[in-house]
Amino acid sequence: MGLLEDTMTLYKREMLIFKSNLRVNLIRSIMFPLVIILFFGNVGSGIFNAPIAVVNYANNPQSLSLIGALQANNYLSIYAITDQATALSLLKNGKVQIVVIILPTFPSTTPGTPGVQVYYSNTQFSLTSFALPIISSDASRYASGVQVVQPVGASAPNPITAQVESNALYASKGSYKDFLVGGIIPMVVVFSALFGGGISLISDRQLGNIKAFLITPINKNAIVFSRILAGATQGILFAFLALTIGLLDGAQIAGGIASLLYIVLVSVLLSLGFIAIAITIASKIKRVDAYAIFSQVVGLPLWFISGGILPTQSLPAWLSAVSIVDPLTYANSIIRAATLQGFVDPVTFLIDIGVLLAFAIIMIRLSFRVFKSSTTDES
Amino acid sequence: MAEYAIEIEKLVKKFGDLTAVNEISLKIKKGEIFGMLGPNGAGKTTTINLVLGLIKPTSGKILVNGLDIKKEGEAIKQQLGLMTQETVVEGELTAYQNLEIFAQLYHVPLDEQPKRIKEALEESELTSFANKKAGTFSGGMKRRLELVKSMIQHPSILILDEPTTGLDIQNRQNMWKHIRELNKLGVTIILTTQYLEEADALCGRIAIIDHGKIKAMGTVSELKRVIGSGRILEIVPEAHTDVPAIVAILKTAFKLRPEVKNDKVTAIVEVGNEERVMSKLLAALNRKKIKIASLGMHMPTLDDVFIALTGASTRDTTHSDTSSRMDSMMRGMSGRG
Ligand SMILES: Nc1ncnc2c1ncn2[C@@H]1O[C@H](COP(=O)(O)OP(=O)(O)OP(=O)(O)O)[C@@H](O)[C@H]1O
Ligand SMILES: [Mg+2]
Repeated sequence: MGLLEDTMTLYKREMLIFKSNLRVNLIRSIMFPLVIILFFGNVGSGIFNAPIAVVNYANNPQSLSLIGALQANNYLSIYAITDQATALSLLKNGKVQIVVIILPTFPSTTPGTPGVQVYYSNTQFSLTSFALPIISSDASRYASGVQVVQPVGASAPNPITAQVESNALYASKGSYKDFLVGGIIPMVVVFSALFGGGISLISDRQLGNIKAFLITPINKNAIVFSRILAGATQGILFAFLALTIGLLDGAQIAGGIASLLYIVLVSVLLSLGFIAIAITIASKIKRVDAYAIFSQVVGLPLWFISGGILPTQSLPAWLSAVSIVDPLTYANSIIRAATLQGFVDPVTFLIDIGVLLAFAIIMIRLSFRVFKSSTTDES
Repeated sequence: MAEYAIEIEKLVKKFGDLTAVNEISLKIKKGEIFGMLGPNGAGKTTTINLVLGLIKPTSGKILVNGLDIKKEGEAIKQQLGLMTQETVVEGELTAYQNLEIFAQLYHVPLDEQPKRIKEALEESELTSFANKKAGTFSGGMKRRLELVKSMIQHPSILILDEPTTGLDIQNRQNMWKHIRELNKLGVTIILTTQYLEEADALCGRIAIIDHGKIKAMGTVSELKRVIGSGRILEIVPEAHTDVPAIVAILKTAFKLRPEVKNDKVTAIVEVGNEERVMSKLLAALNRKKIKIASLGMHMPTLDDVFIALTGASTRDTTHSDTSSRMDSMMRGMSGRG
């Protein structure tokens, strides 16, 4: 079997080179997650301690119970205010971030009639995007609609009435750090794939190594295949390093060994697909610096919209729609469920893995084709 | 068995508007050392890439050991070795690993690999550096490693693209020695070079290539006859600014066709006329008060053939790199970093 042997030879080469540059490779791939986990993971508790004014016009047992639930949440500080006008002025002055008005209709079950009105200022996007789901989630236990009015103090208030939806992510005890560590793993994998996979191909071509391989009687696919396999190996290594950093910093993952297996599986599929993308693009781009820009421009947004750093529910609707075509979203979905809940719903699992598998296969086939065509006419 | 190692027929390669190889035809006999000589951008590397099947010809035909590369591309790969213009040993890998990878890529049987690698290390005098990273090697060591690496599959034809560019005198002569030894073992060698001295020292036959065309082909002595039976007049003025005046004198008063390379003006003078031209020229230069650093007359060298054929005088302005590289080569310094 020519392809297999040739692939193993070149795989060995890739790994030898990787090993020989181990220190640089590790620093490059670990710096970013390290900074993000240590920084955001730890300032997180401060960010999410959101000051919230609550005005209770319902004054029934359910409303008192809702306030109790909100107070019990570690991420919110609740201030009871007697009237709406005072609460809104506090919001305007920046004393509180969110105003929750519990309307006399609470708990409302009629669609279109909210039981709770929420006002927030848009000066602290990240804060409100975390606090709002918590409020929604708590209010939903009383089957109450939440009306979100945004933003106060800007133009005319634009009330959006939404039925409450429960948000399991934050119903669990998971801290933001736990959440973040799960989201870092796909990012590390994707970045090492995009960066490592592409730059090494371009520099190998510039140095003449690709030409040296092409004049040997090997199967051309072995050049691509070996790179994809080596990249996947490195991706898993980086994923574990990121996870270790998170765990050492105090993050916790539910699910134990089973979670690790999910992480490995997702990292492998994600690596395969993204190295294939890297090879496809690097077959077309001849310059390392141009390629580096590509990898940043593509990698970061894919990570942001995938729910890696913020839950996808907190994205604006249009970005949330875009996240459906982002493979990272499916990777995050599995890893989140595994690390935060400790189990992955079988249906979700099959869908997510199916998408990732299809993504990897399509990209690998594309990379074979594009690489091959790029080698037939170059010096 | 085919008589020729390589047969090229009306080979054309276009890159967009640029015709890099323009109807080249040549036949290289088995066991020959064949040189392709030409300035930067002449089309040497492109021709080699075509022979190796790395790029597809626009038109024309290439046979390697009698096999058409279009049909038998894969079989031919085992018979061709290439040492590229850029040194491509892998700096992060040891000498041994560099060789091992290529032994495997060429599908050398597993049990034979250690022997081949050992031999290669001995030939390249790198046995004691086998486990050192190639990145730490000197330029000469890297080139030696590359030479044996490109021979690891024991090809019958070895293509060397500018094998000594960037090497110092000692390493160059060492490389020449290796090339001759390989040739004695029966390996057909094709080498490209910008150095006339190299072609002169190594090659049985030479093709002078410029602008994608073969300007002349033959043995060194045949090529020297291109100049005719003339002698080469060579004048170097003390002041660079006097060059145009000298050119003018040679053209008008002597009806010669001077060529300029750097500060040196050369012209072909017919045999029998040498002394008369020399004395008249000295007088003319005296009259114009042109001071001369050197003045001489010599038998034609390959250098003169090259200048006569490729018009190095006009090329110097556009390809200033060519002449300076050749000059530094003559002084035995490294031309390219
Ligand atoms: N892939 C390519 N695409 C476009 N043009 C090319 C390509 N490869 C070579 N050329 C052009 O073809 C011409 C011949 O180049 P080639 O590399 O064959 O020259 P060379 O004789 O090897 O020169 P050198 O001594 O600099 O190596 C040059 O003008 C070069 O710019
Ligand atoms: Mg060249």
